[in-house]
Amino acid sequence: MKHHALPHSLGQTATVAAVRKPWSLRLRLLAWALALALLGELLLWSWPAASAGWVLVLRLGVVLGVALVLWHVLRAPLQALQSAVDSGPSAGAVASVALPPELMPLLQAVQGAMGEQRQAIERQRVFLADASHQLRTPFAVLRAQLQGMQSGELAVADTLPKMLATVDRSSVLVRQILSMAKVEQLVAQAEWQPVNLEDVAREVCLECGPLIARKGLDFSLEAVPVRLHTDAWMLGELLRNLLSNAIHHAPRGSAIGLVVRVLPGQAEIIVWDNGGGINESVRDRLFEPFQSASGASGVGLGLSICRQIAQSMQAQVDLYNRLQDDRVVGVDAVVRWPLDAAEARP
Amino acid sequence: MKLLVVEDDLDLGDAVARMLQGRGFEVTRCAHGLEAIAMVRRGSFDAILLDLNLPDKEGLEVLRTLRDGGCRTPVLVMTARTAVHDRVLGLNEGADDYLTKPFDIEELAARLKALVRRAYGVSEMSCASLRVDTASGAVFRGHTPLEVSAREFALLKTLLARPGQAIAKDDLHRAVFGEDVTGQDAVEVLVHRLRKRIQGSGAQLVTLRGVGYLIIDESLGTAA
Repeated sequence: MKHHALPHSLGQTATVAAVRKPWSLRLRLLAWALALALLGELLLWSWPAASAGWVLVLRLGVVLGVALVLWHVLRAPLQALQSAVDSGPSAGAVASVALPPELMPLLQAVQGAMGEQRQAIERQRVFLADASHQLRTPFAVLRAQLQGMQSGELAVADTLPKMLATVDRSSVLVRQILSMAKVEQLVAQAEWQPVNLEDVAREVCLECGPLIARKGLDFSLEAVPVRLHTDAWMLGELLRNLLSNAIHHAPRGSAIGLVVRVLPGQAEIIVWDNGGGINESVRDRLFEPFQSASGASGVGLGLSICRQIAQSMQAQVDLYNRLQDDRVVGVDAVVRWPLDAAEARP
Repeated sequence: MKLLVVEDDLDLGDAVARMLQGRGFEVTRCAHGLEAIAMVRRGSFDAILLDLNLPDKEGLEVLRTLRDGGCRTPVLVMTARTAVHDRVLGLNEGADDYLTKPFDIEELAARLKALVRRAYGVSEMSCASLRVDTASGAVFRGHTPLEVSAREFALLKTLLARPGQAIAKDDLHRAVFGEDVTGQDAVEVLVHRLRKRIQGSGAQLVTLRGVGYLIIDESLGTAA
């Protein structure tokens, strides 16, 4: 059996302790400046006939000397930092750079940024693995079913409806993955405009009207005008995802609704349903990509898209079980905007 | 109903054309933008089904060229793009409706029919066994004539122009009462009365409280 080498970053961290702690920059500069000034004064003292011009030249020399020392002292640690940053976020080399204490905050900031980048890369890796599985599986299913029908081993009348359902489920997933990429692009672009939350909510409700009607749901919207600084499509996507979830989990003929309201210090929307509620133990996991409460139903990118959008607007999205007489009667999906991000209009 | 299908994916174009032929459309197909423009100029179509991604010319450019040339034929745009901007742009450029790929073929047929009806004022509209003759103002449940007031008729006509799609309350109010803003509850009262009148027709008038209304065929209510 092959022996696996330690991850590179672990090896790097181990060397940190061995690196000699550099002197404080302030101490070194002070020492050099004192030494140079002393040398200058010594020269002047041993040269009584010095003219005013020479005095000036000598003093300028001291200042120049201090500047040269400053450049020299800073060059080595900054070069070390630069080459560590250049080697990329995965190398862990930044952790082992020896810097004077004055530059430590800079080093920590760089380490923080690189740590975040490492985490993002890790999240991306997990996402790709999951997405690959979720996208390939339906193709495998469809292919097997088609071949089964071709060879006559699967009954066409039974198999075709299943295939249609598989295609529809995969289409939702593809739509969600594309929507996620679109949100990422808009967030990076950050060209926000004033958007009325009430108008967007109304639009999304109209769009979801056919789904609501076909499930016989008793729907209501209660909304007040709230101005947000964001992108209208993206805000719509947030509401669309929450409302689709509510429609999906609501029992046929039950009541669901959307509330847009302003409270002291914050604006919020609540998308409520009378479904079975959520399992508290998996609540946080629901916001991770490809997790869904029941496993079978829903593909589970919707809530992570919601969180991504909410974060871009300094908002927070949460799911709560609504209780009545200690019994769970449904879910409230709540998005809250702090009032400096949300501006209520009377 | 003569329909031009402009779609460069041959399999999709073929499947859509065959299924629409089975639903009362006379379909002509082409796969290129320039060809489409030439065909529209030569022939007379009742509607155009236009894909946005064409090999030689952007679908929107084709649409713009047609509209600039004075063509008023209703156009339904099919798009595989995600962003809503494309859709809005499509509508601004003179598209009459859009569908995102993949779509349900029944939905496509219904939208195309509604489009042609709106554009040419075809006088008969229907949902389940409910039928409306806009020329004579008569409403039938099956073969039974139904008694409706002028305002109820205006409401029904507006809802049936886009069957299965929700219409904002304000838009309905405007369609029925014009710019007269008195009595915001007037639409609600009217809907309540109309709902009673069309009972048993298989057409259901659904309320989205605080948003609007839509009319659906009850037998299609099987969505998950």
